[in-house]
Amino acid sequence: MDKLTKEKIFFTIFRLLAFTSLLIVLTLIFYILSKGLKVISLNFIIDYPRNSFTEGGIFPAIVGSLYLVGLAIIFAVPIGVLGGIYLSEYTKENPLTETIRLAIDTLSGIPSIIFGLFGLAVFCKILNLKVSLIAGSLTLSILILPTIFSATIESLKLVPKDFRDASYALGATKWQTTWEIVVKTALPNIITGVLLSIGRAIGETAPILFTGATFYTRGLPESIFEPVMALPYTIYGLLAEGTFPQKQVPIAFGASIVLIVLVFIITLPGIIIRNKFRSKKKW
Amino acid sequence: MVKISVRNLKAFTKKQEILKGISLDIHENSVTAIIGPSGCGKSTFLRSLNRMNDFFEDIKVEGEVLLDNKNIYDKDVNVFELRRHVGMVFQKPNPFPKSIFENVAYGLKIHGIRDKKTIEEKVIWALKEANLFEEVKDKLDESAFSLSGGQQQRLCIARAIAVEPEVLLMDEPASALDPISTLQLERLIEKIEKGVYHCNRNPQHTTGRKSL
Repeated sequence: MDKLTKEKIFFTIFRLLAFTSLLIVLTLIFYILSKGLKVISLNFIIDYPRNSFTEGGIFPAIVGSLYLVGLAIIFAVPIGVLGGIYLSEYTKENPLTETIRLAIDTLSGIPSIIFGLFGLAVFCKILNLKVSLIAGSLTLSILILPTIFSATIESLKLVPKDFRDASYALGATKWQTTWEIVVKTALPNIITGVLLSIGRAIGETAPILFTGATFYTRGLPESIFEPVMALPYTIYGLLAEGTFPQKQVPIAFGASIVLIVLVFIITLPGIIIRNKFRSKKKW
Repeated sequence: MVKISVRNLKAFTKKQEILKGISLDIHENSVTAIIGPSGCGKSTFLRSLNRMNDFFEDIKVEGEVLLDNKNIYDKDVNVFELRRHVGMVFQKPNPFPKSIFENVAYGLKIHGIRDKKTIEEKVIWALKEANLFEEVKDKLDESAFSLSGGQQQRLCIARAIAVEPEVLLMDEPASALDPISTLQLERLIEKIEKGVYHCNRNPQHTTGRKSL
Protein backbone atom coordinates (compact mmCIF):
# COMPACT_ATOMS: atom_id res chain seq x y z
CA MET A 1 0.00 0.00 0.00
CA ASP A 2 1.52 3.32 -0.98
CA LYS A 3 1.89 6.19 1.47
CA LEU A 4 -0.88 8.29 0.01
CA THR A 5 -3.52 5.58 0.22
CA LYS A 6 -2.44 4.84 3.76
CA GLU A 7 -2.79 8.50 4.69
CA LYS A 8 -6.24 8.65 3.13
CA ILE A 9 -7.45 5.56 4.95
CA PHE A 10 -6.22 6.74 8.32
CA PHE A 11 -7.51 10.27 7.96
CA THR A 12 -10.90 8.91 6.98
CA ILE A 13 -10.92 6.78 10.12
CA PHE A 14 -9.91 9.73 12.30
CA ARG A 15 -12.54 11.92 10.72
CA LEU A 16 -15.23 9.31 11.30
CA LEU A 17 -14.18 8.96 14.93
CA ALA A 18 -14.29 12.73 15.43
CA PHE A 19 -17.75 12.86 13.90
CA THR A 20 -18.87 9.97 16.07
CA SER A 21 -18.22 11.90 19.25
CA LEU A 22 -20.05 14.90 17.84
CA LEU A 23 -22.89 12.59 16.81
CA ILE A 24 -23.17 11.14 20.32
CA VAL A 25 -23.42 14.60 21.88
CA LEU A 26 -26.00 15.73 19.34
CA THR A 27 -28.06 12.56 19.77
CA LEU A 28 -28.02 13.01 23.53
CA ILE A 29 -29.13 16.62 23.34
CA PHE A 30 -31.77 15.82 20.74
CA TYR A 31 -33.12 12.95 22.84
CA ILE A 32 -33.37 15.05 25.99
CA LEU A 33 -34.94 17.94 24.08
CA SER A 34 -37.50 15.70 22.42
CA LYS A 35 -38.54 14.26 25.78
CA GLY A 36 -38.47 17.38 27.87
CA LEU A 37 -38.99 20.43 25.70
CA LYS A 38 -42.78 20.22 25.97
CA VAL A 39 -42.75 20.98 29.70
CA ILE A 40 -40.36 23.93 29.39
CA SER A 41 -42.06 27.26 29.98
CA LEU A 42 -41.47 30.31 32.11
CA ASN A 43 -43.69 28.76 34.76
CA PHE A 44 -41.56 25.63 34.80
CA ILE A 45 -38.60 27.74 35.87
CA ILE A 46 -40.25 30.12 38.35
CA ASP A 47 -42.96 27.93 39.86
CA TYR A 48 -42.94 25.49 42.77
CA PRO A 49 -43.74 21.82 42.20
CA ARG A 50 -47.40 20.96 42.78
CA ASN A 51 -49.69 17.92 43.05
CA SER A 52 -46.96 15.51 44.20
CA PHE A 53 -44.54 16.84 41.61
CA THR A 54 -46.79 16.09 38.66
CA GLU A 55 -47.35 19.74 37.85
CA GLY A 56 -45.78 23.10 38.45
CA GLY A 57 -42.12 23.94 38.14
CA ILE A 58 -38.70 23.25 39.54
CA PHE A 59 -37.84 26.67 40.91
CA PRO A 60 -36.66 25.42 44.34
CA ALA A 61 -34.38 22.85 42.68
CA ILE A 62 -32.73 25.52 40.53
CA VAL A 63 -32.26 27.82 43.51
CA GLY A 64 -31.09 24.91 45.68
CA SER A 65 -28.48 23.88 43.14
CA LEU A 66 -27.21 27.44 42.90
CA TYR A 67 -27.07 27.71 46.70
CA LEU A 68 -25.18 24.43 47.01
CA VAL A 69 -22.65 25.35 44.36
CA GLY A 70 -22.35 28.96 45.49
CA LEU A 71 -21.52 27.94 49.04
CA ALA A 72 -19.19 25.19 47.85
CA ILE A 73 -17.29 27.79 45.85
CA ILE A 74 -17.04 30.09 48.84
CA PHE A 75 -15.46 27.25 50.83
CA ALA A 76 -13.29 25.71 48.13
CA VAL A 77 -11.92 28.66 46.14
CA PRO A 78 -9.93 30.40 48.90
CA ILE A 79 -8.42 27.13 50.10
CA GLY A 80 -7.76 25.77 46.61
CA VAL A 81 -6.40 28.95 45.05
CA LEU A 82 -4.36 30.20 48.02
CA GLY A 83 -3.13 26.68 48.78
CA GLY A 84 -2.16 26.23 45.15
CA ILE A 85 -0.29 29.55 45.13
CA TYR A 86 1.52 28.58 48.29
CA LEU A 87 2.46 25.15 47.05
CA SER A 88 3.58 26.38 43.66
CA GLU A 89 5.32 29.62 44.59
CA TYR A 90 6.43 29.35 48.19
CA THR A 91 7.60 25.79 48.63
CA LYS A 92 10.48 23.92 47.08
CA GLU A 93 10.10 20.41 45.86
CA ASN A 94 10.59 18.09 48.78
CA PRO A 95 9.02 14.83 49.95
CA LEU A 96 6.28 16.66 51.85
CA THR A 97 5.10 18.80 48.92
CA GLU A 98 5.39 15.80 46.62
CA THR A 99 3.13 13.88 49.00
CA ILE A 100 0.62 16.73 49.07
CA ARG A 101 0.56 16.79 45.29
CA LEU A 102 0.12 13.05 45.11
CA ALA A 103 -2.72 13.30 47.63
CA ILE A 104 -4.42 15.95 45.49
CA ASP A 105 -4.10 13.87 42.35
CA THR A 106 -5.48 10.85 44.17
CA LEU A 107 -8.37 12.88 45.55
CA SER A 108 -9.41 14.01 42.09
CA GLY A 109 -9.62 10.37 41.00
CA ILE A 110 -11.89 9.21 43.83
CA PRO A 111 -15.51 8.49 42.78
CA SER A 112 -17.93 11.14 43.95
CA ILE A 113 -20.08 8.68 45.92
CA ILE A 114 -17.13 8.21 48.28
CA PHE A 115 -17.15 11.96 48.92
CA GLY A 116 -20.86 11.58 49.62
CA LEU A 117 -20.20 8.91 52.24
CA PHE A 118 -17.38 10.97 53.73
CA GLY A 119 -19.66 14.00 53.95
CA LEU A 120 -22.35 11.90 55.57
CA ALA A 121 -19.93 10.58 58.17
CA VAL A 122 -18.09 13.80 58.94
CA PHE A 123 -20.43 16.71 58.31
CA CYS A 124 -23.83 15.14 58.91
CA LYS A 125 -22.93 12.82 61.78
CA ILE A 126 -19.75 13.91 63.56
CA LEU A 127 -20.32 17.65 63.16
CA ASN A 128 -24.04 17.00 63.53
CA LEU A 129 -25.06 19.22 60.64
CA LYS A 130 -27.63 16.59 59.56
CA VAL A 131 -28.85 16.60 55.96
CA SER A 132 -28.53 20.29 55.19
CA LEU A 133 -27.48 22.88 52.68
CA ILE A 134 -24.26 23.48 54.61
CA ALA A 135 -23.35 19.77 54.82
CA GLY A 136 -24.09 19.29 51.12
CA SER A 137 -22.07 22.29 50.01
CA LEU A 138 -19.15 21.35 52.27
CA THR A 139 -19.14 17.91 50.67
CA LEU A 140 -19.25 19.46 47.20
CA SER A 141 -16.44 21.82 48.14
CA ILE A 142 -14.21 18.87 49.05
CA LEU A 143 -15.09 17.27 45.74
CA ILE A 144 -14.02 20.31 43.69
CA LEU A 145 -11.09 21.31 45.89
CA PRO A 146 -8.53 19.06 44.12
CA THR A 147 -9.66 20.37 40.72
CA ILE A 148 -9.25 23.99 41.79
CA PHE A 149 -5.94 23.15 43.46
CA SER A 150 -4.51 21.46 40.37
CA ALA A 151 -5.86 24.12 38.02
CA THR A 152 -4.18 26.81 40.12
CA ILE A 153 -0.85 25.00 40.27
CA GLU A 154 -0.87 24.22 36.55
CA SER A 155 -1.78 27.82 35.66
CA LEU A 156 1.04 29.19 37.81
CA LYS A 157 3.54 26.76 36.29
CA LEU A 158 2.60 28.12 32.86
CA VAL A 159 3.80 31.61 33.77
CA PRO A 160 7.24 31.94 32.15
CA LYS A 161 10.27 32.35 34.37
CA ASP A 162 11.19 35.39 32.24
CA PHE A 163 8.39 37.40 33.84
CA ARG A 164 9.59 36.57 37.32
CA ASP A 165 13.20 37.42 36.38
CA ALA A 166 12.15 40.76 34.93
CA SER A 167 10.23 41.63 38.06
CA TYR A 168 13.01 40.65 40.43
CA ALA A 169 15.55 42.53 38.33
CA LEU A 170 13.55 45.71 38.94
CA GLY A 171 13.91 45.21 42.67
CA ALA A 172 10.51 43.65 43.32
CA THR A 173 10.06 41.47 46.36
CA LYS A 174 8.78 37.91 46.23
CA TRP A 175 5.37 39.10 47.40
CA GLN A 176 5.14 41.80 44.73
CA THR A 177 6.33 39.45 42.00
CA THR A 178 3.93 36.70 43.03
CA TRP A 179 0.84 38.89 43.24
CA GLU A 180 1.47 41.59 40.68
CA ILE A 181 2.98 39.43 37.97
CA VAL A 182 2.60 35.70 38.47
CA VAL A 183 -0.93 35.47 39.85
CA LYS A 184 -2.25 38.21 37.57
CA THR A 185 -0.84 36.41 34.55
CA ALA A 186 -2.25 33.07 35.65
CA LEU A 187 -5.63 34.46 36.68
CA PRO A 188 -7.57 33.77 33.45
CA ASN A 189 -6.54 30.11 33.61
CA ILE A 190 -7.35 29.89 37.31
CA ILE A 191 -10.80 31.40 36.73
CA THR A 192 -11.40 28.94 33.91
CA GLY A 193 -10.47 26.06 36.21
CA VAL A 194 -12.83 27.32 38.88
CA LEU A 195 -15.72 27.76 36.43
CA LEU A 196 -15.23 24.28 34.99
CA SER A 197 -15.24 22.86 38.49
CA ILE A 198 -18.52 24.68 39.22
CA GLY A 199 -19.92 23.12 36.07
CA ARG A 200 -18.93 19.73 37.39
CA ALA A 201 -20.20 20.36 40.92
CA ILE A 202 -23.65 21.50 39.86
CA GLY A 203 -24.30 18.26 38.01
CA GLU A 204 -23.10 15.93 40.75
CA THR A 205 -25.74 13.82 42.48
CA ALA A 206 -23.78 11.39 44.62
CA PRO A 207 -22.09 13.86 47.00
CA ILE A 208 -25.38 15.57 47.92
CA LEU A 209 -27.46 12.38 47.93
CA PHE A 210 -27.00 11.74 51.65
CA THR A 211 -25.74 15.11 52.76
CA GLY A 212 -27.76 18.02 51.45
CA ALA A 213 -30.47 17.20 48.96
CA THR A 214 -34.06 16.32 49.50
CA PHE A 215 -36.73 15.39 47.00
CA TYR A 216 -39.32 17.94 47.93
CA THR A 217 -39.51 21.12 49.98
CA ARG A 218 -42.44 23.45 50.28
CA GLY A 219 -40.49 26.61 49.85
CA LEU A 220 -36.94 27.80 49.62
CA PRO A 221 -34.62 26.92 52.52
CA GLU A 222 -34.74 29.50 55.28
CA SER A 223 -31.35 28.68 56.73
CA ILE A 224 -28.22 26.82 55.72
CA PHE A 225 -29.15 24.06 58.18
CA GLU A 226 -32.15 22.94 56.15
CA PRO A 227 -32.01 20.42 53.33
CA VAL A 228 -32.52 21.79 49.82
CA MET A 229 -33.84 20.56 46.51
CA ALA A 230 -31.25 20.22 43.78
CA LEU A 231 -31.57 19.66 40.03
CA PRO A 232 -29.63 16.42 39.65
CA TYR A 233 -31.29 14.91 42.70
CA THR A 234 -34.70 15.99 41.44
CA ILE A 235 -34.04 14.26 38.14
CA TYR A 236 -32.92 11.14 39.94
CA GLY A 237 -35.88 11.19 42.30
CA LEU A 238 -38.48 11.70 39.59
CA LEU A 239 -37.10 8.91 37.44
CA ALA A 240 -36.27 6.40 40.16
CA GLU A 241 -38.97 6.95 42.73
CA GLY A 242 -41.71 8.84 40.96
CA THR A 243 -45.15 7.31 41.34
CA PHE A 244 -46.70 9.02 38.31
CA PRO A 245 -44.19 8.32 35.54
CA GLN A 246 -46.38 9.63 32.70
CA LYS A 247 -46.33 13.09 34.19
CA GLN A 248 -43.06 13.01 36.08
CA VAL A 249 -40.68 11.64 33.43
CA PRO A 250 -41.19 14.68 31.16
CA ILE A 251 -40.55 16.92 34.18
CA ALA A 252 -37.30 15.04 34.81
CA PHE A 253 -36.25 15.62 31.20
CA GLY A 254 -37.27 19.26 31.47
CA ALA A 255 -35.11 19.56 34.56
CA SER A 256 -32.26 17.95 32.60
CA ILE A 257 -32.56 20.64 29.94
CA VAL A 258 -32.46 23.32 32.61
CA LEU A 259 -29.41 21.68 34.18
CA ILE A 260 -27.55 21.47 30.88
CA VAL A 261 -28.34 25.09 30.08
CA LEU A 262 -27.22 26.12 33.57
CA VAL A 263 -23.90 24.27 33.22
CA PHE A 264 -23.45 25.88 29.83
CA ILE A 265 -24.14 29.37 31.19
CA ILE A 266 -21.67 28.85 34.03
CA THR A 267 -18.84 27.38 31.95
CA LEU A 268 -19.31 29.72 28.99
CA PRO A 269 -17.38 32.65 30.52
CA GLY A 270 -14.57 30.21 31.31
CA ILE A 271 -14.41 29.08 27.72
CA ILE A 272 -14.51 32.67 26.46
CA ILE A 273 -11.78 33.77 28.87
CA ARG A 274 -9.63 30.82 27.90
CA ASN A 275 -9.99 31.44 24.19
CA LYS A 276 -9.28 35.13 24.59
CA PHE A 277 -6.26 34.30 26.70
CA ARG A 278 -4.98 31.75 24.18
CA SER A 279 -5.24 34.09 21.24
CA LYS A 280 -3.37 36.78 23.15
CA LYS A 281 -0.71 34.51 24.55
CA LYS A 282 2.57 35.13 22.80
CA TRP A 283 5.27 33.76 24.98
CA MET B 1 35.57 56.76 39.69
CA VAL B 2 35.29 53.04 40.18
CA LYS B 3 31.63 52.10 40.47
CA ILE B 4 31.87 48.35 40.81
CA SER B 5 34.95 46.56 41.98
CA VAL B 6 34.97 42.81 41.56
CA ARG B 7 37.45 40.99 43.81
CA ASN B 8 38.37 37.39 43.24
CA LEU B 9 34.83 36.43 42.26
CA LYS B 10 34.20 32.72 42.01
CA ALA B 11 31.02 30.93 41.07
CA PHE B 12 30.62 27.21 40.97
CA THR B 13 28.13 24.41 40.90
CA LYS B 14 28.74 21.02 42.45
CA LYS B 15 30.14 19.81 39.17
CA GLN B 16 32.23 22.69 37.86
CA GLU B 17 33.73 26.06 38.51
CA ILE B 18 32.08 28.63 36.26
CA LEU B 19 33.92 31.81 37.31
CA LYS B 20 37.48 31.23 38.40
CA GLY B 21 38.47 34.18 40.52
CA ILE B 22 37.63 37.28 38.49
CA SER B 23 38.92 40.69 39.56
CA LEU B 24 38.13 43.85 37.68
CA ASP B 25 37.08 47.47 38.15
CA ILE B 26 34.14 48.92 36.30
CA HIS B 27 34.12 52.70 35.99
CA GLU B 28 31.33 55.17 36.29
CA ASN B 29 29.77 56.72 33.17
CA SER B 30 31.23 54.20 30.83
CA VAL B 31 30.20 51.14 28.92
CA THR B 32 31.99 47.93 29.67
CA ALA B 33 31.57 45.01 27.33
CA ILE B 34 32.23 41.39 28.09
CA ILE B 35 33.04 39.09 25.22
CA GLY B 36 33.49 35.37 25.15
CA PRO B 37 32.30 32.12 23.61
CA SER B 38 28.93 30.81 24.64
CA GLY B 39 28.92 28.90 27.89
CA CYS B 40 32.00 30.66 29.26
CA GLY B 41 30.10 32.28 32.12
CA LYS B 42 29.24 35.78 30.86
CA SER B 43 25.67 35.54 32.05
CA THR B 44 26.69 34.01 35.35
CA PHE B 45 29.11 36.90 35.87
CA LEU B 46 26.48 39.53 35.05
CA ARG B 47 23.91 37.85 37.24
CA SER B 48 26.36 37.82 40.12
CA LEU B 49 26.52 41.63 39.96
CA ASN B 50 22.87 42.04 40.96
CA ARG B 51 22.55 38.74 42.79
CA MET B 52 20.14 37.22 40.31
CA ASN B 53 22.15 34.04 40.84
CA ASP B 54 20.49 33.79 44.22
CA PHE B 55 17.62 32.07 42.41
CA PHE B 56 19.82 29.20 41.27
CA GLU B 57 20.22 27.02 44.29
CA ASP B 58 23.06 25.01 42.83
CA ILE B 59 25.25 28.06 42.08
CA LYS B 60 27.51 29.18 44.91
CA VAL B 61 29.26 32.54 44.73
CA GLU B 62 32.46 33.47 46.57
CA GLY B 63 34.53 36.63 46.61
CA GLU B 64 33.46 40.24 46.73
CA VAL B 65 31.51 42.58 44.51
CA LEU B 66 31.89 46.12 45.81
CA LEU B 67 29.27 48.60 44.68
CA ASP B 68 30.39 52.03 45.87
CA ASN B 69 32.79 50.20 48.20
CA LYS B 70 30.03 48.13 49.76
CA ASN B 71 30.10 44.37 49.27
CA ILE B 72 26.73 43.38 47.84
CA TYR B 73 27.10 39.89 49.32
CA ASP B 74 27.21 41.24 52.88
CA LYS B 75 24.45 39.95 55.12
CA ASP B 76 22.99 43.40 55.80
CA VAL B 77 22.44 44.19 52.11
CA ASN B 78 18.79 44.51 51.07
CA VAL B 79 18.86 42.54 47.84
CA PHE B 80 15.66 44.15 46.49
CA GLU B 81 17.10 47.62 47.05
CA LEU B 82 20.32 46.43 45.37
CA ARG B 83 18.49 45.30 42.23
CA ARG B 84 16.77 48.63 42.04
CA HIS B 85 20.18 50.25 41.77
CA VAL B 86 21.65 47.59 39.50
CA GLY B 87 19.08 47.01 36.77
CA MET B 88 19.09 44.29 34.17
CA VAL B 89 18.00 43.71 30.59
CA PHE B 90 17.75 40.13 29.44
CA GLN B 91 18.73 38.23 26.34
CA LYS B 92 15.18 37.58 25.21
CA PRO B 93 12.79 40.55 25.36
CA ASN B 94 10.54 39.77 28.31
CA PRO B 95 7.86 42.43 28.68
CA PHE B 96 5.09 41.70 31.15
CA PRO B 97 1.68 40.73 29.78
CA LYS B 98 0.50 44.24 30.52
CA SER B 99 0.06 47.42 28.51
CA ILE B 100 3.09 49.34 27.26
CA PHE B 101 2.49 52.02 29.87
CA GLU B 102 2.02 49.54 32.71
CA ASN B 103 5.21 47.73 31.80
CA VAL B 104 7.26 50.83 32.49
CA ALA B 105 5.10 51.97 35.39
CA TYR B 106 5.44 48.64 37.21
CA GLY B 107 8.92 49.32 38.58
CA LEU B 108 7.85 52.74 39.83
CA LYS B 109 4.75 51.35 41.50
CA ILE B 110 6.55 48.56 43.34
CA HIS B 111 8.93 51.13 44.75
CA GLY B 112 6.07 53.00 46.29
CA ILE B 113 5.43 55.81 43.83
CA ARG B 114 1.68 56.35 43.90
CA ASP B 115 1.28 59.80 42.40
CA LYS B 116 -0.24 59.32 38.93
CA LYS B 117 1.32 62.44 37.52
CA THR B 118 4.82 61.48 38.65
CA ILE B 119 4.39 57.99 37.24
CA GLU B 120 3.18 59.34 33.92
CA GLU B 121 6.07 61.78 33.66
CA LYS B 122 8.65 59.13 34.47
CA VAL B 123 7.15 56.59 32.09
CA ILE B 124 7.25 59.09 29.24
CA TRP B 125 10.77 60.12 30.17
CA ALA B 126 11.96 56.49 30.22
CA LEU B 127 10.28 55.72 26.90
CA LYS B 128 11.95 58.76 25.37
CA GLU B 129 15.30 57.74 26.82
CA ALA B 130 14.85 54.32 25.27
CA ASN B 131 14.11 55.88 21.84
CA LEU B 132 10.70 54.26 21.85
CA PHE B 133 8.29 57.04 22.73
CA GLU B 134 7.65 58.31 19.19
CA GLU B 135 6.70 54.82 18.04
CA VAL B 136 4.31 54.03 20.87
CA LYS B 137 2.92 57.38 22.02
CA ASP B 138 -0.48 56.71 20.46
CA LYS B 139 -0.87 53.20 21.84
CA LEU B 140 0.40 53.27 25.38
CA ASP B 141 -2.63 51.25 26.48
CA GLU B 142 -2.04 48.44 24.04
CA SER B 143 -0.46 45.16 25.04
CA ALA B 144 3.33 45.12 25.04
CA PHE B 145 3.11 41.97 22.93
CA SER B 146 1.76 44.01 20.04
CA LEU B 147 5.27 45.44 19.60
CA SER B 148 8.01 43.98 17.42
CA GLY B 149 10.94 42.16 19.03
CA GLY B 150 13.22 45.18 18.79
CA GLN B 151 10.56 47.49 20.21
CA GLN B 152 9.92 45.02 23.02
CA GLN B 153 13.59 45.02 23.91
CA ARG B 154 13.68 48.83 23.96
CA LEU B 155 10.56 48.70 26.13
CA CYS B 156 12.46 46.42 28.52
CA ILE B 157 15.27 48.98 28.61
CA ALA B 158 12.76 51.75 29.28
CA ARG B 159 11.32 49.62 32.06
CA ALA B 160 14.77 49.10 33.53
CA ILE B 161 15.83 52.75 33.42
CA ALA B 162 12.50 54.05 34.72
CA VAL B 163 13.57 53.19 38.26
CA GLU B 164 16.79 55.12 37.60
CA PRO B 165 19.40 52.44 38.31
CA GLU B 166 23.02 53.43 38.77
CA VAL B 167 24.23 50.44 36.78
CA LEU B 168 22.48 48.70 33.91
CA LEU B 169 23.45 45.13 33.11
CA MET B 170 22.59 43.92 29.64
CA ASP B 171 22.87 40.26 28.89
CA GLU B 172 23.27 39.96 25.10
CA PRO B 173 20.32 42.29 24.59
CA ALA B 174 20.53 42.15 20.81
CA SER B 175 20.94 38.43 20.29
CA ALA B 176 17.27 37.90 19.49
CA LEU B 177 17.01 40.97 17.27
CA ASP B 178 17.31 41.67 13.55
CA PRO B 179 20.17 43.88 12.27
CA ILE B 180 18.12 47.09 12.14
CA SER B 181 16.81 46.65 15.67
CA THR B 182 20.36 45.82 16.76
CA LEU B 183 21.59 49.08 15.28
CA GLN B 184 18.85 51.01 17.08
CA LEU B 185 19.82 49.28 20.29
CA GLU B 186 23.49 50.15 19.83
CA ARG B 187 22.60 53.81 19.27
CA LEU B 188 20.58 53.65 22.43
CA ILE B 189 23.50 52.23 24.39
CA GLU B 190 25.74 55.02 23.07
CA LYS B 191 23.14 57.54 24.17
CA ILE B 192 22.91 56.01 27.62
CA GLU B 193 26.70 56.07 27.89
CA LYS B 194 26.70 59.81 27.34
CA GLY B 195 24.08 60.16 30.03
CA VAL B 196 24.44 59.38 33.66
CA TYR B 197 24.25 55.66 33.21
CA HIS B 198 26.82 53.14 33.78
CA CYS B 199 26.18 50.34 31.44
CA ASN B 200 27.50 46.88 31.17
CA ARG B 201 26.60 44.97 28.12
CA ASN B 202 27.52 41.90 26.32
CA PRO B 203 27.74 42.46 22.60
CA GLN B 204 28.20 38.92 21.39
CA HIS B 205 25.83 39.48 18.51
CA THR B 206 26.28 43.17 18.14
CA THR B 207 29.19 44.51 16.15
CA GLY B 208 32.62 44.54 17.73
CA ARG B 209 33.21 47.94 16.20
CA LYS B 210 33.34 49.67 19.49
CA SER B 211 35.98 48.49 21.84
CA LEU B 212 34.50 49.68 25.01
